[in-house]
Amino acid sequence: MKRTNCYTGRVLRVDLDTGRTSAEPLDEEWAHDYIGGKGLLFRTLYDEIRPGTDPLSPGNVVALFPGALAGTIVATTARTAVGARSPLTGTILDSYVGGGLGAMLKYAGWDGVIITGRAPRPVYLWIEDERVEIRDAGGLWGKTIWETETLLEQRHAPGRLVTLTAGPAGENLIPFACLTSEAYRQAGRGGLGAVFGSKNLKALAVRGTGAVHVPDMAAFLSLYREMLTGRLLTETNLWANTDGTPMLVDVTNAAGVFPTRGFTQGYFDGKDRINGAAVQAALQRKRACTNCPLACGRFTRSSRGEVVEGPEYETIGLGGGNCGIDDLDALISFNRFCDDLGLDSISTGNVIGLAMTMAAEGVHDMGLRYGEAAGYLQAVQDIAYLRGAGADMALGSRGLARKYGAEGLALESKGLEFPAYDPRGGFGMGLAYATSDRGACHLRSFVVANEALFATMNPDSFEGKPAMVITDQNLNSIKWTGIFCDFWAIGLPDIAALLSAGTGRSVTPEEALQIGERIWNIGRLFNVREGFGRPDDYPPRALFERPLQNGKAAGRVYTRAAYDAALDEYYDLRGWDRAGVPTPEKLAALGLAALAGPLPPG
Amino acid sequence: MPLKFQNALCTGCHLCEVACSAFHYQEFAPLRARIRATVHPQTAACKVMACFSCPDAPCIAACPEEAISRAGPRQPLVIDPQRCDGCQVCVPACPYGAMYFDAQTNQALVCDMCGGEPQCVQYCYPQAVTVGR
Repeated sequence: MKRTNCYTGRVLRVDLDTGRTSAEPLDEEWAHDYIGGKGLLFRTLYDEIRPGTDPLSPGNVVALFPGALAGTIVATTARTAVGARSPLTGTILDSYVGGGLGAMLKYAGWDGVIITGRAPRPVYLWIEDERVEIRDAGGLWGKTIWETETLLEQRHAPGRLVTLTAGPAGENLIPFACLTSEAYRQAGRGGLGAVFGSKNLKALAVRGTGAVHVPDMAAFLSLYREMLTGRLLTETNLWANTDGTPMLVDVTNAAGVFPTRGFTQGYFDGKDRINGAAVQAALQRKRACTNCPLACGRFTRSSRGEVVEGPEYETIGLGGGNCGIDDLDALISFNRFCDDLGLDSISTGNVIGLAMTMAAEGVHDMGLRYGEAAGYLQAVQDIAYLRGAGADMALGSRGLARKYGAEGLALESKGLEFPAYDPRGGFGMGLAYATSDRGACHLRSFVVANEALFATMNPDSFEGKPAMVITDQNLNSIKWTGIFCDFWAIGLPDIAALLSAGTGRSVTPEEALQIGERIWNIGRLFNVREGFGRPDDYPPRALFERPLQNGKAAGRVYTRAAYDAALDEYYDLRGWDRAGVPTPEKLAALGLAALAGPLPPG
Repeated sequence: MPLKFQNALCTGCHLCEVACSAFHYQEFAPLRARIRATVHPQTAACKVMACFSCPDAPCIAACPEEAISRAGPRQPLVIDPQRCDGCQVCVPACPYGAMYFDAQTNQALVCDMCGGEPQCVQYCYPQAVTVGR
């Protein structure tokens, strides 16, 4: 059937318990209320995951929803929201993979994929348009990500295909194992690799030969063309192409928010050897995600001849400064190990940095020292294969700290390790991390930019921050229905105009923002149902107790009273009660009344 | 003037393909594009190719239906839809891998320069595809 808008109208359901696959119609009402990407993902997870489900049990559901505009010519939108209940945090989880997976799923005719159950033996999913097979993955199990990708490519050649793969870390159920597409594009955070592993699911391989439609191609192209030249290929966004994320290293060091030596410092004395200029000197070539002109991916080559795409800013921050590593060659190896074994480099750099701090402070010695590259690189492999002290580090920062009484040293929210912006240098960022649906994340609100990077807001105060964090969270929720990438600073009117032109129904900016708020609230309802509440919306102890030892933010800590007040204000502005539960009035206003009231038993 | 390709500049974004299919078929369908890009994920080695109306044009002689022609040297090739029967002999006959096949119409696909303003060039930000000398 020929479609007249950007939807294919079909969602693929895969039951690994029975081995059955089926096509279901896209719920038109959900598409109206949640658009795509994060919206349809959260609505689906809320509906499908029974309260109290162990994230690594067959009952967990892993779902993939490409952006509503995936496969169109619109830059950055080929992204896919992948989610489940997180094995690292226990929260709802959405993680975004770039590359071409989202576009390929759409060309294959699917608006989403919902995977339930657990296969009796290792399998992978082969999707070729409407034909879907659950295939034996005996020959793939145990292989690294790049080995797996190569084998799948050989098996299904000729013709372009896109894969999404769990590495050995995912098979070994490491709770911060990622999923990878096209060698270097990850659904990185929160442990989706482990969810795949728990389901005996090694990979998805997709080939789509069809098309994505829009209601009026001429109007669509003319609308987009004007944005492309006027508001995308401009200085605001082109840093992603010319400099890439490593350019942030100098900026965050100057602001004193660069994670350094287990987040004990905000300025790294070795940063000049791993900053933007250092990465630029090792640059080989650039690579784009599908249908994106920005081409932010940067392939580098170490002096030893090792090639990776990266390191990106987050990997430099956590795998570099946070571990005291100022050796770009070592960092490139770290990047390579994490990517090939399937570990989230943010969480991995955090937990190794924490192990180094625990040793430095005499809490527990796993033999790791700040700046010592050999042990650090060995640790990545030990984590992925649960060898020796790696088994402790594989618990994640929260788990490791708990085991050895080092809770005061772990930098995480809801169990998700901090990204590379120290919130002691921007108090609003602490609120952003702590109130984020999936745990500490810099992409739901990036208020630290206003506080520390551009310095338009007072960094060591919560004044005005709750409102800004909420606006960001709602705006990014609608942005990620598209899915527009973080690297396109697209405004709400353009988001609404493109979603309208793609879906064929009018979405006003106001309505778009309300959809964003609806998505944020249904995520909150999921978390509340799992027992999360006010105590989980507090930052870790270190922010209250341990000032940074150097840098522009040195000496600053949060006070309990100030954070209490900021959190109260956040809840009030959100229309949630002081325990952090959305009020029935708020839910009614968002069209979520049916989900209000007594929660179902776990 | 025909298209010119610089693989070293290509970032593998595939925008040339969707721009092509949007222009010709009012849909985003990479496999209906008359230009194709490939990118190797682990190395980022890219290749982008469309017909540039090469001097020999062996596709013309290879076609058993005499469906392929051009107005003159360096002019875009033309597929006669009445004659093309979808046999695909022209596809491997092209030494540049620039002749494609549209499974939907069962016809050969070749670059027609969009009638003079190639859309792939409009969308190729790294300028891997340009209108050549």
